[in-house]
Amino acid sequence: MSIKKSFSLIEVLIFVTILSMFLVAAASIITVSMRQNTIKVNTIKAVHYNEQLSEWISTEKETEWGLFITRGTPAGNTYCFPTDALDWSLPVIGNPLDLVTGCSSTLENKYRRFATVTTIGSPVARVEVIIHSDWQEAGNTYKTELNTVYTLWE
Amino acid sequence: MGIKNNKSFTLVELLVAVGIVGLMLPSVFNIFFTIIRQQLILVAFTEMKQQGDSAQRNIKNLLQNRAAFITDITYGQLDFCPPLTTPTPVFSSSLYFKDRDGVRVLLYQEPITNRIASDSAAPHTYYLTTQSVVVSDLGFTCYHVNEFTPPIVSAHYTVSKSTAFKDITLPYSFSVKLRDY
Repeated sequence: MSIKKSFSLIEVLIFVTILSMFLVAAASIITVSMRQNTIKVNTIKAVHYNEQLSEWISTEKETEWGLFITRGTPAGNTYCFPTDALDWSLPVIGNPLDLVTGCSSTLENKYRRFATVTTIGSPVARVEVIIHSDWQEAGNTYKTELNTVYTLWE
Repeated sequence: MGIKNNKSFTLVELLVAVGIVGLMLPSVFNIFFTIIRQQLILVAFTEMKQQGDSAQRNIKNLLQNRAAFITDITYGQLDFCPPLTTPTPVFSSSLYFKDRDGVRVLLYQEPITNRIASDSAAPHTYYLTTQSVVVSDLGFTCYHVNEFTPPIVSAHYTVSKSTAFKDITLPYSFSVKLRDY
């Protein structure tokens, strides 16, 4: 007489179902976690690019207010800053900022960065600068913005 | 009548099981190491950003609120900054200045531990970054836009950190106009 203590089909199916549910849950958690980590790192970099540009614009303002205010208009002028070598040589079209065209994602081949300079008052009393960086990640667009108001005396 | 009890695995069953485990393990370890790598890079970036931002804030505060005169290395010549030229005046690796009370302060890159340091005549040395990051390429310059306005000091440095997987860097560059001039 031979006694085979094997599992029944139902037992195996239940086991496989529970295991696969667990594996699917674990895989989705891991995927989300990895994506969030990448987004966090990219956000830190994008914020740094914004702050780098903000510091440069602040220097421009400190150096010559009269020249600085000519960069903006009451409706807002938008400039693209595609590299670390910062200058005002690349005005682009686009207001609101989400509709900017002509500014490529050249920073690390990932980020595009631009700023809108708006003058307030006549004669100009304040200059509002909105700095915007965005990038694509897994089919989604992510962005960070930095809003600064400059006055002559600060 | 003998009872045959088949409780053991056969060689083929074991080989199949070991084969499947062997196929899955590299994938599992790959995912595991990718997560570890991402976490390390994230922690490194966070640390670098904190250190770099903190140093920038401290240098700006120090210069804005305390510096009265940028001087030469001997602290003898007051108002050392030349008129603005294009390109910007040459950067040097340290900055010497005096406050309103004549106290001397030096900002420089400490060469052994690669930290940004501030020395005042007391003598006190304060480190503006910690040893968890490496600072390189520290440079200062200053200039007058015209003779009636306070000088502007420009500074740059690079903060970097090595992780087990990747060396990462963040460049900093900023300027500050002296208030106490």
